[in-house]
Amino acid sequence: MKKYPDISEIIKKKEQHRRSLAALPFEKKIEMIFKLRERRKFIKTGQTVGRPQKHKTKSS
Amino acid sequence: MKETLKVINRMVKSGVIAKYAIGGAVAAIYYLEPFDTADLDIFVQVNTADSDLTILAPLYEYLIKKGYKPKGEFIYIEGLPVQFLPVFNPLTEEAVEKSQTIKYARVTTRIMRPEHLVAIMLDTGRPKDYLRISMFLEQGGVNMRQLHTVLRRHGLIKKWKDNEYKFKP
Repeated sequence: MKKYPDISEIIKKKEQHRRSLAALPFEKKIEMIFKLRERRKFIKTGQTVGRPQKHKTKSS
Repeated sequence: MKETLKVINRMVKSGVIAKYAIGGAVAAIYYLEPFDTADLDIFVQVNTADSDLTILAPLYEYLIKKGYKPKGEFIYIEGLPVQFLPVFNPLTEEAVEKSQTIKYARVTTRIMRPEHLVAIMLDTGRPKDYLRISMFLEQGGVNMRQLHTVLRRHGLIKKWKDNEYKFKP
């Protein structure tokens, strides 16, 4: 019978990570969602969201 | 979101809304790990005897006058899509009534309690609602005794028992 690795430790760590995320302050969690949205938009369109555009300045 | 909440609080002060509470995914995120969501659900009690959806008209008029734009079922307030929902049954009414006061970036706001969120999700019963219920149960985000009291009060015990296998960890 083929032997597979035991990933219970990985699952346990994931669970711990989820709990630590849940324990974050509300503002921090909302901030994470906005960042996630920015990342998703960047992946989809290549555009960054909510960052000011750089203006070219004329050198005198 | 801070500026959005300030606008909503001003609506209460000016009497457009009697009382409100954040519900839906954003409220769930207050208790759980963060997950992506499109909008901010605001459950409102309004000072009117009307029982149809026109009760939201004064609220929209107020916001449009202030320059905020409705788009589909949302209205964008300070860049955030907000969906206003009038309390539509005794459960949602109680959820707003018993919501808790919290601070978000030093702005006072009200958020539904986990037991009411879970009961509303059970009542709504979409697959994503069951998924979120399982997150609440898994992460110990809900007081089971209080949840059962809410479920009993609103006739949801049978639905809970019938569907428990879908979300019990």
